[in-house]
Amino acid sequence: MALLEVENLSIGYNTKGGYLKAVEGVSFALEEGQSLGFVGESGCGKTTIGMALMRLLPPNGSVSQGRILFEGKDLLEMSEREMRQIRWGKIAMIFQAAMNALNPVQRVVDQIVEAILTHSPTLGKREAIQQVEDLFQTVGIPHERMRDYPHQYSGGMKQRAIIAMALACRPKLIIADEPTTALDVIVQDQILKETKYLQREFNIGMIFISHDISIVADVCHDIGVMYAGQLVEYGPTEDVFDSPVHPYTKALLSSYPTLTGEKSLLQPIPGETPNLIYPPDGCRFCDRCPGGSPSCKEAIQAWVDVSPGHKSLCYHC
Amino acid sequence: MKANKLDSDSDIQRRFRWTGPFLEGWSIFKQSLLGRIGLTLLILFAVMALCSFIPPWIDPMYNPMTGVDPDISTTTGPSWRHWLGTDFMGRDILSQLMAGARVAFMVGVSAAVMSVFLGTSIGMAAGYMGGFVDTLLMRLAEMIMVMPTLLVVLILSSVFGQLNIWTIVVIIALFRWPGVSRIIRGQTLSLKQRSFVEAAKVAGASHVGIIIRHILPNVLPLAFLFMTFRVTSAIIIEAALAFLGFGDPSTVSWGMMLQWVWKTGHMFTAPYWLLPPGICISLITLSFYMLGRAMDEVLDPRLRKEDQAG
Amino acid sequence: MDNQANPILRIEDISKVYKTKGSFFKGRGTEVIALNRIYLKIYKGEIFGLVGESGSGKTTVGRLIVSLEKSNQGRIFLDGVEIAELKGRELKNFRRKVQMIFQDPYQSLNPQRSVYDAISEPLGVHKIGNAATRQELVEEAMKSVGLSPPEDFLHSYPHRLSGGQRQRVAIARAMVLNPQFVIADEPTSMLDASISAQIFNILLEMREKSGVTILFITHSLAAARYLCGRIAVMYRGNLMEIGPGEEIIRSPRHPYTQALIDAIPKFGQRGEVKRYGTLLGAEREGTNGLCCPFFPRCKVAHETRCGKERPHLKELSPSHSVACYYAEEGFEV
Ligand SMILES: Nc1ncnc2c1ncn2[C@@H]1O[C@H](COP(=O)(O)OP(=O)(O)OP(=O)(O)O)[C@@H](O)[C@H]1O
Ligand SMILES: Nc1ncnc2c1ncn2[C@@H]1O[C@H](COP(=O)(O)OP(=O)(O)OP(=O)(O)O)[C@@H](O)[C@H]1O
Ligand SMILES: [Mg+2]
Ligand SMILES: [Mg+2]
Repeated sequence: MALLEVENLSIGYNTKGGYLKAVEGVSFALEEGQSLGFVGESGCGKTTIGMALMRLLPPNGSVSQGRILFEGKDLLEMSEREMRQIRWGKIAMIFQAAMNALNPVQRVVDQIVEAILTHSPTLGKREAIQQVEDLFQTVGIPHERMRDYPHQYSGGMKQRAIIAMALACRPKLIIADEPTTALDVIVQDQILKETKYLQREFNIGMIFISHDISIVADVCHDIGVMYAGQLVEYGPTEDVFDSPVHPYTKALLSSYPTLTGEKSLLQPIPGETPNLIYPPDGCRFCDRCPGGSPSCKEAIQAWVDVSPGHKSLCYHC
Repeated sequence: MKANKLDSDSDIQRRFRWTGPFLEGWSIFKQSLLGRIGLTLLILFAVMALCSFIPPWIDPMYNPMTGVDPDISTTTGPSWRHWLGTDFMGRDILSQLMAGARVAFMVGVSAAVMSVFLGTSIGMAAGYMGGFVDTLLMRLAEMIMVMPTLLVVLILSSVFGQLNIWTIVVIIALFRWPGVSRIIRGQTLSLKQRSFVEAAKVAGASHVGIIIRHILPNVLPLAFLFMTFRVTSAIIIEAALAFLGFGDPSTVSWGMMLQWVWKTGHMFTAPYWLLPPGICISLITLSFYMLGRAMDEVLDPRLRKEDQAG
Repeated sequence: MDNQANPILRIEDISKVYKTKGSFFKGRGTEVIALNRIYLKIYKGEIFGLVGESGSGKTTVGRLIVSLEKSNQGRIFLDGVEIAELKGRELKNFRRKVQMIFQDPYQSLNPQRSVYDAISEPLGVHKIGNAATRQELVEEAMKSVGLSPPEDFLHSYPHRLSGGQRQRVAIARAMVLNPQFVIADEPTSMLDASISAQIFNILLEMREKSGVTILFITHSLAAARYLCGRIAVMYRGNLMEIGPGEEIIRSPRHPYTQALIDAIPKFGQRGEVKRYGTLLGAEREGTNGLCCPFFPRCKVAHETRCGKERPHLKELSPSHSVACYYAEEGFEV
């Protein structure tokens, strides 16, 4: 049984302009100890999925359809009390711009100890501090800096402290939403390396959200490419990047400058992302797609299997 | 249908370049219950103030200050001739109330406009110039801020005798700008750091140009917001002064009416006389306050209610 | 090659120190050395890349060039004229020639002013044209950044625009005066990859069409490689390496540049990338102010040499300079 199975998940927000369909019909599965990455442009619904998995959608957001099976149980049907046990205890999330989430007037170590104690009340304070010390060692913060306040940390150290906090309760699943976006490449590299190491070491399932393809390619086993609220291509990282099938994936890859290889003219994707309150019929990428034809708009969207585990949501494939 | 909507939207924008943001603000304002109540009340008061010249025109005995009902020489309750009754001299309370509305608007709005104008200019100057000017102006603001306005006006009027209503307005304005200027200064400081101001500098714009084109439009909404709150405080100060007997004796204000009630000892015997001015003072200040809160919502997107789910 | 002889912009020995104000509790303020004795030459018509991590002083270089900030030491020449000395009319003329595009498109447009107001502002400041010709110039600038048809955007306000559209408005505003020199300070760091690519291509097109010189500030070596002929790498206010972009990325000579390249996630050729491994896991203890700026983190550094004295930029070839003893002496690191 997979650790996490998401079936046909649709999420929307009530807004002034109407009902915004932020995520539509997304299905994926994650095995224990595996990592899955979501990439896509800003506003394609990556954070929304993460928030829905934690059941932390803002008040105007709601799941309109689908199931989220975590260890076989549907998270959407749980009571808020059961959910609180799972949140942080079994599923932890590193929020977008999490660096600012540390409480500025409390020592970092106290914040993490508090998180541990709320989830395992049987533990003594001293044991909890010992645990934090171990955690800081694993994420690479010198333990003499444990008793500092957040503002004394650099951005990278704050991010590491957040990762330590996410690991504190030994979760089964970590959702990391753009954990390195605000950091420099060297710090990012170190944090990605640690994340990969910790994930393998503790056999944690991970969902990694980023708009940067190269980061996701670096960290994840599987990858899902999202466009305008839909998953458009899904499969093992190598397959998706080495032989992309969906025109959006191809376009995304060719709009990204690289360090190696031929220096060719980047091909930006023309046009703008569609309006999610009135999404277009049929394929949502059609208007910006080089190979789009009127028939794409009429055809019912269906997954096409490219190779085992690698599928694409394109009528032409 | 969708295309249609977008079309007309951009059409409106094109035709009414300047009103665009206001229309949008209005549509948010409309959704606020507080705002609607406040605005309705204010319109009622405005109508009252505008109609205040009608009673004396019908019959000179309805003149709020000098008109005395020849048949009545003491306070009487409501009747057909005097809907709200008469005061101790037989003057019509309703016409006094209407004249009071006019004074309240005059005092409130003009004191508010003056103090906000002062506060905004001083705040922008301090924030934009920084350094010595900033320190000087802000120290001055702090000094004035710790002086209680009411007390100062009382002292002034005991020194100079009765104050004219416009003097009172000017004094209120002179004492109420510091709060505004501090907020505007803070806003200016943060705007000064924003890159659109730097972009204007790089393009070669002068300081005056930057203040007029970039700082002012961004602090103006805040200044308007303050105006509504300042109106409230100016009306209250004027009423308090009048009640304490330091008002302009040639005008009829609600505070003055309360003072007459009190001075003639009808506090507990003539509710028809005591209540209308009291209620009017409360309602008009409340309505300006509600208007301010609703405008706050228009200005601060974080306070905007998203339509809640379900 | 004759434009190699007279650069459009020359930066000589520039230093900038920021003093932070002390507060009541912290006592006296501290000094931050944002730039430490920088020399640069930028030639006409090139796109020059300035790369470095956060806080390395890239923006400070840009702000000094447009004289939003005064340097503590050194001189900057544009077209042979020192910019610190400009006053009055000459300063205004200089403002016409040099423009800047800012990092955050959500901050660089005044929310209360329409797109037309924003783009036409520089024209108004310099009293160019009348209402009709101004509108024409604005529309032309908008078309050249791909905001077409211009009528659709002319009277909209920034909050209606996406990040990419806002950045295009900012570029149009910078280009409407037809400047000679434009500083683009991380114009795409807040934008998506596909929108960044559009912006990159707009910049390339601008250079093609009007021959404008661009100083492109970025933290991404890949973006610099795509856009720039020459690249300079900065670290904590110091220039570490300058050279042709392709050469710096293929064979970086400074250990810091090498560490930077190591750190960039690469996909597509997992097996082929060689790692230089020049970065220490933790900072070296007990360093003094005189050492090479990268010494505390440099794996290959020599205590006796790099720890004692700061290396200066030395030419390896006429176009490639490095500030590192190892590179100079031809050591293979
Ligand atoms: N609270 C909200 N109310 C209304 N709409 C929302 C809300 N949060 C997000 N949205 C909309 O839902 C869509 C998906 O947003 P989401 O934050 O999931 O995107 P994302 O892929 O995480 O983007 P980014 O890369 O910018 O973080 C967007 O169109 C966004 O405008
Ligand atoms: N106004 C200021 N006051 C004090 N210190 C400043 C100021 N502006 C910049 N600094 C400091 O100067 C150094 C260089 O800053 P600069 O903004 O030039 O870096 P940068 O390379 O542009 O970084 P980023 O990539 O984050 O934009 C930093 O250490 C910064 O903290
Ligand atoms: Mg997000
Ligand atoms: Mg910068």
